[in-house]
Amino acid sequence: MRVSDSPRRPQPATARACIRIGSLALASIGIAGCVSGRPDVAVRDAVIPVPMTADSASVYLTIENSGGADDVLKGVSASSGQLAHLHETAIESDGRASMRAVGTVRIKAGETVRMEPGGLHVMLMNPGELADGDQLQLYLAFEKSGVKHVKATVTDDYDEVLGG
Amino acid sequence: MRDSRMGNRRAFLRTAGVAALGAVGAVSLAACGDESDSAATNEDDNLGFAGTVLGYPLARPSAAFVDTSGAPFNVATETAGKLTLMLFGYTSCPDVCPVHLNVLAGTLEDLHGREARTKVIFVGVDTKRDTPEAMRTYLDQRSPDFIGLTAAPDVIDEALKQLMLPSVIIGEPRADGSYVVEHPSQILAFTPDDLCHIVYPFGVRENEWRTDLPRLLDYDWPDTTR
Repeated sequence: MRVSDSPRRPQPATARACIRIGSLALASIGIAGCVSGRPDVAVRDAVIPVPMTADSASVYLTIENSGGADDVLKGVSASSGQLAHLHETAIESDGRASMRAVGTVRIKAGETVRMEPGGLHVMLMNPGELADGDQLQLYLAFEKSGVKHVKATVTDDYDEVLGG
Repeated sequence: MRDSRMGNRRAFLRTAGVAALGAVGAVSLAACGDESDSAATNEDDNLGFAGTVLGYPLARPSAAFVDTSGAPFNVATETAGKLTLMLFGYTSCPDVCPVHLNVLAGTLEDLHGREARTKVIFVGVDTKRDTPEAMRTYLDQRSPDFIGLTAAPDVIDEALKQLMLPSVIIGEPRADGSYVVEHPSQILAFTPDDLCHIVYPFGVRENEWRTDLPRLLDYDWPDTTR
């Protein structure tokens, strides 16, 4: 018997749609699509607190993966060509703060990673003079989603930097 | 630690950041035969402040610091009677220190009267790079009124011990000459009675400081020194 009542349109990529189709057992293609899944990565809320030296600046941003598969942030670069490193501050139980370079950041399916003070951040090397309101284009390279652009705004509003 | 708080990153950091101090305070209380069995890490016991109230207050340090003009600076005598916020960091610090200093600068700009004259002391622990001159240039980015202090590593170590803060760790230089600096992330608040009753963890907001500073000036602390 032909599955004639199943419209021939591209299968939705999101996990939720896959589950719906799969549960109706309409198309084995739909189920296969679920297993592979795809990440759906968006980068937003990129802010750079006005740096205190011209040597480095920290960028905080949010990465949301609303897709059905993990993705991995492999690196970051800036429009003006400065080096950018992924760093993480750790604050131990006694309050001692330390910082380490992070090679990659995994963004799991359905998860949101918030880079914020006292945690993950992008460290821009030698950004030069940055003033409140300045904007900088950043490029985030993901393993599966490719390169995503985001505009980071320099701000002196630290309540905004620390998050509402 | 309560499970319900674990989900709240800020609350967790706030509590964990002063856990060591809180534990010391709790022990002291017990030794004094105090009826209270409350741990100082319990947010409900923090009297409505955004920091953690210590079970046992700390004295202002009298370590042999040097200010940004190169002159000796004794915190205990130079800031006696004044509301003083003290933190330890380094001038190349990209994350924790600039956040602290900017939040404090922003807070004080918006205040008037006595609380606007709160002293802020930043101790540079990266003694190779945090020279008096480098400290002044760094702090002037936010406020010429911020006091910058440095000292020999053993003097800083001793002061941190006295203040029950974690020690500084300076890592071995890498190939490119950079090295890791680990430092306490807390801010100590010394009140006009010359004691520190309360320690602020990383992540306190400007609006919380604006609420707390006037209260810190006038708060009638129970006498726990007997």
